Order: sequence, then C-alpha cells, then structure tokens
Amino acid sequence: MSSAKTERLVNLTMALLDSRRYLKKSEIFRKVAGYSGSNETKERMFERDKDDLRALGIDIEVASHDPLFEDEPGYRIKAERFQFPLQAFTSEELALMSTALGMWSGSGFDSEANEVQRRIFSQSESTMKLQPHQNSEFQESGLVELSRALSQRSSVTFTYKKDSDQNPETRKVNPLGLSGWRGSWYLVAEDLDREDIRVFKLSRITSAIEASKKRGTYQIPSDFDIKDYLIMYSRDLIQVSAAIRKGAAPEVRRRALSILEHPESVYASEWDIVTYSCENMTEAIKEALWLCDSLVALSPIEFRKEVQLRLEMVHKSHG
Amino acid sequence: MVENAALRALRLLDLVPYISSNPGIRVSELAEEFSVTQDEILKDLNLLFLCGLPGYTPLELIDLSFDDGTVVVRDPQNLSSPRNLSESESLALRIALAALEEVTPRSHHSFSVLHSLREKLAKAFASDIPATSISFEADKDRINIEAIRNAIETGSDLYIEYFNQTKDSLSRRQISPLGIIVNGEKVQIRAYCHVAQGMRTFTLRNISAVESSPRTVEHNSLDDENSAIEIRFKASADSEEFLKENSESLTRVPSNGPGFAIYTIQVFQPEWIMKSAISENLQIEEPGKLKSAIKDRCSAALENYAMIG
Repeated sequence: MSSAKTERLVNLTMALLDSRRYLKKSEIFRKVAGYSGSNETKERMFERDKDDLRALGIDIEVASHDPLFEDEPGYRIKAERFQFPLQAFTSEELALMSTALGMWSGSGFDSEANEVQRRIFSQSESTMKLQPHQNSEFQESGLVELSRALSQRSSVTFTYKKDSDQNPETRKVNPLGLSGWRGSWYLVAEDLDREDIRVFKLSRITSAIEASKKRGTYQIPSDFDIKDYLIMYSRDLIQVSAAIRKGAAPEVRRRALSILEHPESVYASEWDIVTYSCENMTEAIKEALWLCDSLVALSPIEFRKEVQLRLEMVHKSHG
Repeated sequence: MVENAALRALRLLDLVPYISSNPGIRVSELAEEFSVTQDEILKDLNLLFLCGLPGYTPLELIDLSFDDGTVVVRDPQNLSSPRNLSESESLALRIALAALEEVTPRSHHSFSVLHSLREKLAKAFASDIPATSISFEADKDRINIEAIRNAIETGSDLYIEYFNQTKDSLSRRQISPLGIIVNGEKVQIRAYCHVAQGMRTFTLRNISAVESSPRTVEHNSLDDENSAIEIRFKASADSEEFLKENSESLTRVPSNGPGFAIYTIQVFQPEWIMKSAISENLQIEEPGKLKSAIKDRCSAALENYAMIG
C-alpha cells in the first residue's frame, strides 16, 4: 500500500481547510506537499484526489477566484462545513443526539452510528435518563439502504409487490422522503418509469435495494412535504368550534387549531373559544355530550343544535 | 484486501482530534476504537508525523508523541475539532431524533430540549433534504405494552402519563403494573396506583407515555376496591357502541314490553356512567339518585347553551 497518496490527501485537506481564500491549482501544486511530475500528471493527481475526498463526504468548494481569470477556479474547504460545531451544543443536547443514534444499534447503520459516537460524542456525558424504548422499528430491511440513497440523492431499483396477489414489478425511483408510521416504514419517491410520485411500503419490497453509484442526480424540491403523499395524514377531518372552560378538556385542546379567549369580557375569565378537528360529526357530538359540563358547542350550527337536542332528550328521559 | 488510501486518509484525519480529546490514550484502545490492528495504528501515527500545513517545517507539522504504548498530540494544527457529520450520518441522526422525540413523554424535561435541538440541527446543517422529507409516528401502544410487560416481569414500577376520560384530566402517576387484560380490541392494565393508593384499571389507548422507575413502596395487591353500584338502564338507537364496548359487563334484564332492551351493569365510578348516559343516550332507571343527577347536569348544560353562543 502506498502511503504517499494517503499523506497527500491529508496534506491537501489541511491546506484547503487552512486557507481563508480559494486556492488556485497552481498554488496548490506549489504549496501542498506531494504533487510532483509534469503539469499533466499533477492535474490528474489533483482531480482524482478531489473526487476521493468528495466521495468521503468532504465538501470542497469551488469558486472563480478572480473575475478576470474565470477560467481558473479556486478551491477551499470551509471550516464550518468540515468541523462539527461542538461548542454550539449543550452537553445535554450532545447526550440526546448520542442516545438517538443508539436507536440504530443492531441495524445496517450500526457501524456509521458507532463511528459518529466515537468521533463526536465520545466526550459527552452519557448519563442520560432517557433510554430509547425500543429500536425494533429501525430494523426494517431496506431502511438503511434507502436512507443512504436519499442522503446521496441516488436513484434506486427494487422489485415491489403492490398487492399480495400481484407479481412483483421492478421499480426505479428517486427517493424523496421516508416516514415511519406506527411500526411500518414508507418511502415516497419519484417513479422514473411512471413519471409520478408514488408511495412504497418497505415491507412490500421483495428484493434488495440496488442504489445507483451516481450521487446528486436529482434534487428534492424545498417545499416537498412527505405528509402530503401519505394517506394516514390526509384523513378528512372536520372542524368545529366550542366554548371550553379554562383548564378543561385537555384532549380536545391537543387537537386545537386555535384557542382564543371568549370575546365577551364576562365570560373571558372562565371560557376559551376553541376550534378543533374531529373524525366526523357523530364523534364530535358524542364528545361534546361527554364533556357537557365544560364544553358548549358553537359552530357549525347543526353541531350546536344536535348537541342541544340530545341534551333535551336525555333531560326529558330522566325527568 | 488492500485498504483504500482515501479511507486511510479519513482515519488519519479522525485520529488527530480523537487523540487530542483523549490524551494519553493507549495504542491498543485506539486500535479497538478504529477497528484496525495496533500495527496499523502505529503506521498511521508514523505517517501523521509527516503531515501538516504548507511550509512543513516543524512548526507546521502535526506534533504527537508516543511511548510506553500511550499517545499524546502536542500540536494538532487545524485538526483539533471532530469531523462533521456526513449527509448520510446527519440523515440517520435526524430520523433517530424524530423517533426519540416521539417516544419521549411530553412532561419529560428532555422533550422540549429535543424539540429545539431538531430545529437547531436543521439550521446548523445546510442540507439538501428538507425537514419535511422525514416523518415519524411511533407505534406507541406497542412500545408502551412492551414497557409494561417488562415491568410486570421484573417487578418494577412505571411512571405513566394517563388521560382519564371520565374525569377529563391528564395526569402523571406512579403505578405497579400487575396484569394485562385483553378484552376484544380494548387492552387494559391492572395496576396498583400510588396516587390513588389502590388497585386501578388503565386503558392502554389512554396511556400516552411510559417510563420505568424502581419500585419504591411495597403494597398489598389485594387492596380493596371501591364498592360497585348496580345500574339499570334502557338502551336507545344511539347506544349501540356502548353496548358493544361493554358487552362483557352487561346483563340483559328479561322483559316482555316493547321498545329497547333493558340491562344492568356493575359500575365503580358513578361519573363514568353519568357521562356515558348523556353521550350514548342511555336511559337510567335505577338508582333514582343517579337519574336525578343526570337530569341536573343536563339542565346545567342547557343553561350554558342559553347563555353562551
């Protein structure tokens, strides 16, 4: 094994990291130890070194360093991208990150997680009371491979069985997001053959995940929201509003879209106006009746009327 | 297998900050931490002696010393801080933090720290993957039931966050779980409640968080229950769900008359049957005291409706 290349890569990294400005290739060849031979040889060496460092995840930035010499780009590694900002986090935050990474233990991310623990969190006190309750949700097959592909923006190929009675089909997709939902994982991805965004349940993938070696082949729109594509987040909920006594109905308040003080000052100290979501009108009515001593249904009007009617009925039947 | 020169360079870049923050670490420990042989670590250290900043005089070279099998960095040059998270490492961390926040009780001090930490991370690492690309909702019932099962087996206590529907209140309480009751789709936990100081039944669905704690107080698990009262009621068209959910506790009263069926049920909490009667339209026949209490509650509620709206 040649140590020369390793040595040169370390020196190149340190030099690019040390520089406050973008270094031109000619400067790099002059200053950084390890570049020798003809200009062409040095050029080739540098191109390969640059690719190697980038493949390791080291971010080398390129910029035209002088507007008059646009054809000669400059290179540097920014310290804020290369170094982990340890001092930006409290010891508790570091310990929480370390605890979180522990959830991957036993999965295909194990070695990466351990490496991050050693590299970044080895000094943080891990005297946290929080224990990750269970990490079996992180053992789903394909999850690690898809996370990796997503992080590198590489397209993936796998076979997928849509229904149990259907034959598996080969799908080629660009991963856009991952969602864990009550024990199952879902991939939302752009299906390259169908030219449409589709949802895949990981447990229905019937082959290994094959990721393209090319990185950064697509972009995720900055306004992409995985919940827009997942049916469990798009249930048709209804919105109702009610006056609710202060301190009462914590469950309803958890679903609140807005909580305002009652506009009339006589009621403001005791009642809030809460707008909240419900599965459907039947459930909304039942809930309002259950909480009838601390909740007054307001709108929509049929909600209010129905609750009132039911209260009158029960009142009458117990008279 | 010949090791890739680039991967070895990465290890060298990581060795310097690691030794800096663990001065005097043994070569054997380094070998273990970095999963290579001691011989390879020694070769790495010897190579690091040659690396440094442009100029490459002793002032610019990485300076380290090792003897007696321990290593110290005297001058790390610009490699004193750990290397940042890669895109895949930060994604793994973000997914794990989303999951950790999900399973952390809201009342736990760490919950708010986790929440702000996730925002901080999203800002700190300019990423090409928007925060909304990741979502996580835990299978809470499964996580909770595993923690409860574990507590029963080991004889330890739990802190639970419980929403009591009857009392319409959210509370945190210490319990000693004793058994799990599966009743159709409804799963319930029998436990000694240290707050109520007696045996109680908790519905799994209403437990929002579970945290284990050592058993602090011994208790007599045969502690008496509040005494039950017998309720007699007539069902209605709106009571179907109530009848289904409580089918095991209901006794049908034979009657020849027309109309809806009449049942009896043993009830421990009068408040529960009152709320059920109003919400599910049950017509309570006995006891008379409960009947008038329901009537009063309806009048009070109707007064609120007359006043507000």
